[in-house]
Amino acid sequence: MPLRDDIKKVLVIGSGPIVIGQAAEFDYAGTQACRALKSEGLQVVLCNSNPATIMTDKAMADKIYIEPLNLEVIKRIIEIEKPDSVLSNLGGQTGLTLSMQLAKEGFLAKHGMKLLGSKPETIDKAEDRQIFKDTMEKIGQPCIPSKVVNTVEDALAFAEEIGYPVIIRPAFTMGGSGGGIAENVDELHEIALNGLRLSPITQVLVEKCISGWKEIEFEVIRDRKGNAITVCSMENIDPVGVHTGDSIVVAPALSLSPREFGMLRTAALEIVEELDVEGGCNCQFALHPDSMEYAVIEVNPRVSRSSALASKATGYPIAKVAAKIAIGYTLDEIVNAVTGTTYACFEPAIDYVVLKFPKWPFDKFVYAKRRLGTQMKATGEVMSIGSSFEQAIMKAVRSIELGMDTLKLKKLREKSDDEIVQQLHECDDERIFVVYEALGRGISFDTIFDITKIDRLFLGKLKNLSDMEKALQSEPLTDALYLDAKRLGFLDSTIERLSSQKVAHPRRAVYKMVDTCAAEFKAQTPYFYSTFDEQNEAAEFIENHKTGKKKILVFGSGPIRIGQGIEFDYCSVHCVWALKEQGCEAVIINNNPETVSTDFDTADRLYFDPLTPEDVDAILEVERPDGVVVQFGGQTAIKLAKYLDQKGVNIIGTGYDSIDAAEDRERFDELLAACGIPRPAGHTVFTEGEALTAAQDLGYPVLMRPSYVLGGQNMIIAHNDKDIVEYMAVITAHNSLENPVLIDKYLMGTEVEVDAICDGKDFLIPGIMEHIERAGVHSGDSISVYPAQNLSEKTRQTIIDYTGKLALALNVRGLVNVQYVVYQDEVYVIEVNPRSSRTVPYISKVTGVPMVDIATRIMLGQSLLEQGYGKGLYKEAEYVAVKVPVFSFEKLHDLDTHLGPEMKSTGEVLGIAHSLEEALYKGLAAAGYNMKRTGGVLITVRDTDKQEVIPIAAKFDGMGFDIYATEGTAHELNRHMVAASVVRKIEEGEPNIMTLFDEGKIDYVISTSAKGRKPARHSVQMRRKAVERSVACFTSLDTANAMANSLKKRHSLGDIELVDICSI
Amino acid sequence: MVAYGAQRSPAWLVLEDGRVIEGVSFGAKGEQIGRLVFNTACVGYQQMLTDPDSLGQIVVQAFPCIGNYGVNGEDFESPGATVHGLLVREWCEAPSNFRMSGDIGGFMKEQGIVGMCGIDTRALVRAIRDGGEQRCLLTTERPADLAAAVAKIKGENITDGITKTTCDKMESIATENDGPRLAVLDLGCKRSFLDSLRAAGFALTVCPAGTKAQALAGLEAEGVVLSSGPEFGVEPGAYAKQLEEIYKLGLPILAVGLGHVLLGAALGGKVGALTHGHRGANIPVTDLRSGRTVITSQNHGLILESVGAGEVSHRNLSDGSCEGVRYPNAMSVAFIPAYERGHMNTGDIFRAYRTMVKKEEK
Repeated sequence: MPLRDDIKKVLVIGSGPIVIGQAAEFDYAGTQACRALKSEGLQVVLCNSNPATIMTDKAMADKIYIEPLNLEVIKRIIEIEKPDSVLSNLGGQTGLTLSMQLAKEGFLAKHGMKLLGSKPETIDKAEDRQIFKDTMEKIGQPCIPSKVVNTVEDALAFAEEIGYPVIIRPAFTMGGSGGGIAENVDELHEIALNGLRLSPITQVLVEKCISGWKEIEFEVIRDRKGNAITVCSMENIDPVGVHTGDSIVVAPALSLSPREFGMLRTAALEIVEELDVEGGCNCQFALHPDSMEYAVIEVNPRVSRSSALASKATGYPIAKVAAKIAIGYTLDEIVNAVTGTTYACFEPAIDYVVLKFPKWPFDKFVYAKRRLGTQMKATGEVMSIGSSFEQAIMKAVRSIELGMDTLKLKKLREKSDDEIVQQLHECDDERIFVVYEALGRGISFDTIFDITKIDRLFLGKLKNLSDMEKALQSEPLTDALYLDAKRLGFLDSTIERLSSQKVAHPRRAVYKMVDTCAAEFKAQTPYFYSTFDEQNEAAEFIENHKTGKKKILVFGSGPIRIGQGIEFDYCSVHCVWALKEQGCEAVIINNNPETVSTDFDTADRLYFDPLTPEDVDAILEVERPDGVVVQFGGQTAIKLAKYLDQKGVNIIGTGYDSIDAAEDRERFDELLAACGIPRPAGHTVFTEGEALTAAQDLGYPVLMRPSYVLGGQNMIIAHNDKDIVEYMAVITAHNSLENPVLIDKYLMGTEVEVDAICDGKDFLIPGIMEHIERAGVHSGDSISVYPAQNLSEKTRQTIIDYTGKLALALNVRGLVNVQYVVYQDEVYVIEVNPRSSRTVPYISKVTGVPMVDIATRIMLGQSLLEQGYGKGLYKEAEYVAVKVPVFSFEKLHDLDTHLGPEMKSTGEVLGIAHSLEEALYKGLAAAGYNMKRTGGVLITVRDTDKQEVIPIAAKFDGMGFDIYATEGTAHELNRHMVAASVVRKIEEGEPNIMTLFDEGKIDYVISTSAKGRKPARHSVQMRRKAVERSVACFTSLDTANAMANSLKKRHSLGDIELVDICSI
Repeated sequence: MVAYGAQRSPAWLVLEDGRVIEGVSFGAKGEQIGRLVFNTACVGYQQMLTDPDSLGQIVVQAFPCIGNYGVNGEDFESPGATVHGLLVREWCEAPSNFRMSGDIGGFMKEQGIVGMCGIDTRALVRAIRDGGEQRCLLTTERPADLAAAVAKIKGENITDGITKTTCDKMESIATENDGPRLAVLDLGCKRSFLDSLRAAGFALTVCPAGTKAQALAGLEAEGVVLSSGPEFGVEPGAYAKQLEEIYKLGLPILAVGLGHVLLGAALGGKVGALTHGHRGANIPVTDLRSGRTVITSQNHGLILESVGAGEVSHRNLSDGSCEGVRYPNAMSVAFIPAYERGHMNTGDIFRAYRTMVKKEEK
């Protein structure tokens, strides 16, 4: 049936900023949806607060509002734009909850709007724990013994009945937020209390904990006719008890016989039938390892992280099909674009094995609890495709960028067998490596299975890898052994390392196509993965699709992590689009299943593979590109530059030499001296002794960091010798000291950031950004304002001048990012990155200067001036844009929330308005601050801040807030006529700070510490408490000040100006 | 498959067109000739290896890891192996499943199935897709003379598969709740299909394939079922007269798989062959009456190109071929339906047939 003609203009609600649990997968889904809708001739109105997304690009929608994702704002947008429908199920939990609220309040009905995607009844049946139970019971689908409760008392009572351990699942939260496993009464009390508070409907499910059962998922898609198919089955290597986002997952499920497989598949289909799903749905089951007993864990009737994985794993575009279903198509009408001759109503057949491996932030956050449970902690993931499980997991391990090329974790070598067995009990991010070590030691499958419940099938396969490592170490490297090792996923460099023998006849990888049908139908999907065979389908494809165009290879940015997120994917994708527009053939290599770059529709060819030199070599050999691009894939792509340069590969754009000049301290210093540009004094050190000498020479405080890092990884401010000693230990734990540690004098000035585009002759600066937080807080964690507000004309000119000098001296062809600190009227350079940066997406959107596009054309030979945007500083936009960072602190336990030089935010939002105050207000609101104008403020700051905090406290006081402070701070405040009540510190006995939190008296916290980091410290504990109670906590006086200013202006979401960025 | 070097022994696949593929042997040793087909399902190998429908086939599995859950005593579709050979990329030597009693290699050895692993199965699938289902020779003895091997393939003695897989004598199977009795013409029926019929509430009398209409009439059955079976060596026309007479008995008929093709041939339809068969568990079939499409399991290469007296009731969504026919007093489907309480898969076929049977009762 043709699509409904009563739908002409659709409102799509996005998922907002990247947080742990709701991330890039929704940009991918949202982008597919917008494209699908527009291809049907519909008008699309988009609302998403996250400027780093591809979906908020002018090409994607007709009207784009980068505004707070808030009910009031959405209603206003609806009133302005008058769409006739809203698409609910492609914006994660955020989009879903907002759509449901609009529906339930009758707002949609009142405005004659249709709800597309998921119906409220469907959502309730899945998300409301009680209705879910009842629904499952009705259709005879077994659930785990559980009870829905609204009070802690009821939770405790039920737990008594069914016995511990129990799991708490709060209703309508995301990524398992607020949930957890309770082993006893005390734990249950704490988790239930928190869960009830976080659930928008004060509801949690208390459920018997069946950890250890197999965890199997099915991605299903269904249309309004009732046609339903399962797109993909997935099996979590980590059994029930670990959130699917934190599990290693294999697709398809490998350990199920047809009986279990059929049983669960049918169950999934029956569930979506009963829920009347129209679109995609994820069904999770627990299956007893030794019987046919199973239970439904949860059902998510929307596009999700799993559906992104399933789409990339099978080649079946779930979000696109779901969008078409939402506007009225049925599965048997939607053509399968991959084969061109079949329809979306068929189940993909896979002839390879897919593995998903999560990326955790624990290499950055050394003090955070690493234990994995029901609350997701991973920031991102990689996917790998192989001809065997072993090959797939080996590829995944090198894609995840932990510096490992096999599953052998070096630090486990020293442990005894008993210690290894003990450590198997620790369910954390390193467990799979502990399992591998145990297998290598000959510890029995039974022992390992009893403790971890990881299926023996996988243990067997991991053992194959371990056995191969041993064989390589002890046997002569025959051709047969070598080929087997290649097929198991070993790199040549690994084989040589283990065997201490040279590989006589290196074998090149060949490529197979992902075609949704296991070769049953002829397909022309340009989507490939590597394996070791004779037949090379990529070579065939290239041969059959000769275009004569210039061919450029673009490297992606790997898994999403703090410091390297979706912004880099935005740049990669825009580069590919620009290349295609300029008449080139664009090829992309990446291993992140959540992103738009790995949608095979994006580039002319996609290679889903690890980004190591050997993997890249094989692709270069089959593609023989005319050039490669490394400046849009963050540090992941830059790391390849040296290797590519040595091989003589043509890097278009800024070359390796420039990259090295920027990163190598000595060379960089020389460059600065030659340009006459000052930098904070600094030294390069390799040992603790050298570090202490350097610090004393510079004078405290000093900034310490390893070189060649991203996101300020392991970057710290040291205030004394003790700090140096502590921090050197931390840094050297994670980095081999081939790259030294940099120690610089810390200048406490204003931070300014500039992105520039250069063609080797001229340069263009779309805009200068100023950070609200002074130097010392990583730029990614700072609130960034464009245009810069507080710079003198002299400073501005100096910055423009320095930027130009640097860009030209470094021979930049493309993008460059420079960070400055303005201290006592002097401008100093902090760092220069000759590549795209985090700020490129938002600055491009707000200034209207398509930075990646311009840079790409420069890389292809066009000059800057030819492109018509002029040079020097671009004219200021009429709008002010404020980028506010977003954190996922509630997910990472024991992590100190104190901001510093090491980046901690996972995402960002944008506030855009004609005035700074309004833009700031919108940004803060979009970031999730509730912007309360009354209540209590708790202030406890370090000595060095006690004077500066006074005027800020005065502002809050003036607005009528109750001010609480610890003794030292209170004393100063009161002395300066700001009324503050003294409150006891944690160590001073009750009632104290914590009591105030528990009594709900605190709405904002201003807390700065000289120390911090370690979970035991009271200041850290207090900040963690603020996270738990969802109380805004400012760890920089500058942020607190900005908030105070914003609150004073008395803006509200009802009267702020709404901006359609398509009109900029 | 971590054995390497001297621990492995080779195997060879010789195609009718003269191509030779070398791999590693597993399962039984020996030599077998068969028809080279590919199957895209990722589970179900034990069923497939013992399925009468697979008789005479040398099967390439598209999915690269075969044998993960071992073999067990329950998943046999017939008492012994029916395939002539199995080709996989990798077989699992350390499977794991609570029902398993052994691994696939051991099973194939026992059953005399020759296997070959360590090959690029995808390349082979593509070759079959583009070139058709050739006959071939699978052997663990190096073929000394290629021409001789090809001659052997061409000279393969092919006999009617139905006679090899049908039962010897009639057997009655009761049902728990006294449902209608059906006469099942065993054309190489698989066990799971009989299970489905019983679960759907029918009592069964399973009859050898050669049973004539008269004998069936004497059973006082309320319906007749034509089971699926092997296409190997079967001449559809050879069964036309017998089936036409059975049809004339006037009892409601349900025909599945091969039965669907033979009934079609008997009632004026024309039989054709697909370039490569429908062999997998993901095949979409649209019920033309309801408009709904379900995913089915199939293993057939023959189709009805035209349906004579009948009306096409089901179509394959991917290639448009006929997947089901309705006749005045019979229904047939090319796929193998499985009984289930729900409506999401193919259980409705049994319910529709039951309605047909009930109508006749009145």
